[in-house]
Amino acid sequence: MTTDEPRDLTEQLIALADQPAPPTALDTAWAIVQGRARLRRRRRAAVGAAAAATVVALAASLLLQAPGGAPAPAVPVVSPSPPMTYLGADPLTTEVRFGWLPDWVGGRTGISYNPPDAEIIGPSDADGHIAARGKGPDAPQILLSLYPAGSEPVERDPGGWPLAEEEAPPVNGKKAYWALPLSDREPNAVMLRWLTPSGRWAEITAHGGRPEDVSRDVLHRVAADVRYGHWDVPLPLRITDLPGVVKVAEARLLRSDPGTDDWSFDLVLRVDGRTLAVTLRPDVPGPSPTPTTPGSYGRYVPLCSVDRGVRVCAQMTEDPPPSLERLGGVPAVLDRIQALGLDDSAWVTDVLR
Amino acid sequence: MAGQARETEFTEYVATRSGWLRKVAYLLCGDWHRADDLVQESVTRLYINWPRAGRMENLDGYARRVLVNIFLAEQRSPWWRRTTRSGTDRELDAAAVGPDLDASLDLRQALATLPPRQRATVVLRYYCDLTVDQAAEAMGCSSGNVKSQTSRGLATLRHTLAALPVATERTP
Repeated sequence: MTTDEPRDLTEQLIALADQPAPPTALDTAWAIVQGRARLRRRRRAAVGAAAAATVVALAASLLLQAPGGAPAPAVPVVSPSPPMTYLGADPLTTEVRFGWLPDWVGGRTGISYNPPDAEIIGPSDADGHIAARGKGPDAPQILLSLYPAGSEPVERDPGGWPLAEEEAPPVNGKKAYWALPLSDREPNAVMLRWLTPSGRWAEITAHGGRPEDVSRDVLHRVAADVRYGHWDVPLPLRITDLPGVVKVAEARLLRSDPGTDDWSFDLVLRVDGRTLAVTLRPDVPGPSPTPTTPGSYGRYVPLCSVDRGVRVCAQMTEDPPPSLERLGGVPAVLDRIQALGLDDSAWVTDVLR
Repeated sequence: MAGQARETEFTEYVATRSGWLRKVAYLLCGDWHRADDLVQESVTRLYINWPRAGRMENLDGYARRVLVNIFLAEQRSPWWRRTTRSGTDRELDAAAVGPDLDASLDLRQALATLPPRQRATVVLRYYCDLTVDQAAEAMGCSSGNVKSQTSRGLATLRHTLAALPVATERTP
């Protein structure tokens, strides 16, 4: 063959790639398990490095539980905050909240709380966000993030593509600008960044829905009414007498269709450095994407129970440590979790008791 | 469920596009088993960034960029340099190789002689059909760098293929 003609080379490359190949060893379920574990590790590191000053914070009860498992008294965090040292019983807290939101947002059931979870490919520093979304598929969404103190937004989008800066009207008298994609990869992406009263940067991105749902006017109005402080997020569970060896590492509450039972709550526990993932979801018919059989790598099948219409699953991502086995293993942890049902008005902030 | 929706979308995307990603990975590394490792790592990172990646218009481009970055990063690591073998070390299953594959095998041998960045530019330009600018974005380098890497890569391929008489002897 010759490489003088690019077309020849292209054809040869296609032929090479189309050769008979051995069966793939790709394991998607394992990618999910590993992905979750890495998210947890990074969040732990973020907490330890005081980078947890993003919008949704993990109440690091692992550091805070008093001997015997009783949570220590809560110490409020005031914005602008020092490195977070949450002492509360709620594993999910937030430093910002939405004020005004457009009508398409489904009230409180349209709000998700998602700690930092971007990966290494050109992420911004404000990985975590709270999200307000509308109903149905391709619903509009607005994501709100708060940068750590002293951190400047990067001129890259989460995919690593460069962004252009365009001056925006000030937000409550503070500097603001639009960050716009330079390429056509996300032509509809709009991002508004502004300085908050504490001097930290905040960021709103929007996508989905009709253009008028997430217009610049809408985003600017949302930004102007963002509230800063510290709030515990009501959650759909209680955990009683969690053994001291089991530490809460992180939490997230996601909702994908406001006003419905379309939510999930993920809680990450650490036992002697190993990860035990707990997930609560409404118990509805249908296939679960959660691995329910061991993959080619694993033997970590989740253990599940149903309580008040909520399916509670717990799954090790590594071999259970002896300290957990002595306590009765994963079932012993699952037994300490009480789901609070589908009605979120019954959810609580005193989760760890 | 929100989490379920995330995982369902992700799983569907991987089911649909992993075959294509695997081929790109194979052309980059020359070894199906290593390609599986690269794709496994790529989709894991894709999952981690799925809340944002999943809404990108050019998700394939993002996934490919992740894959290329992982490939290039591994080539740089001391561990990779210690353990990797040339792309021709692991032969295809003999049963899978027919006479019409000789030219492809020669190309595989020739690709294995390219330094990683030259190989990546060749694959991105001539297999993925990216422009110089698009390849530069995927590799995180300048367009000029892509041009020079491509030029050198093609020159090396020509030289290597010309020095491989085996192909013409094998081909009926």
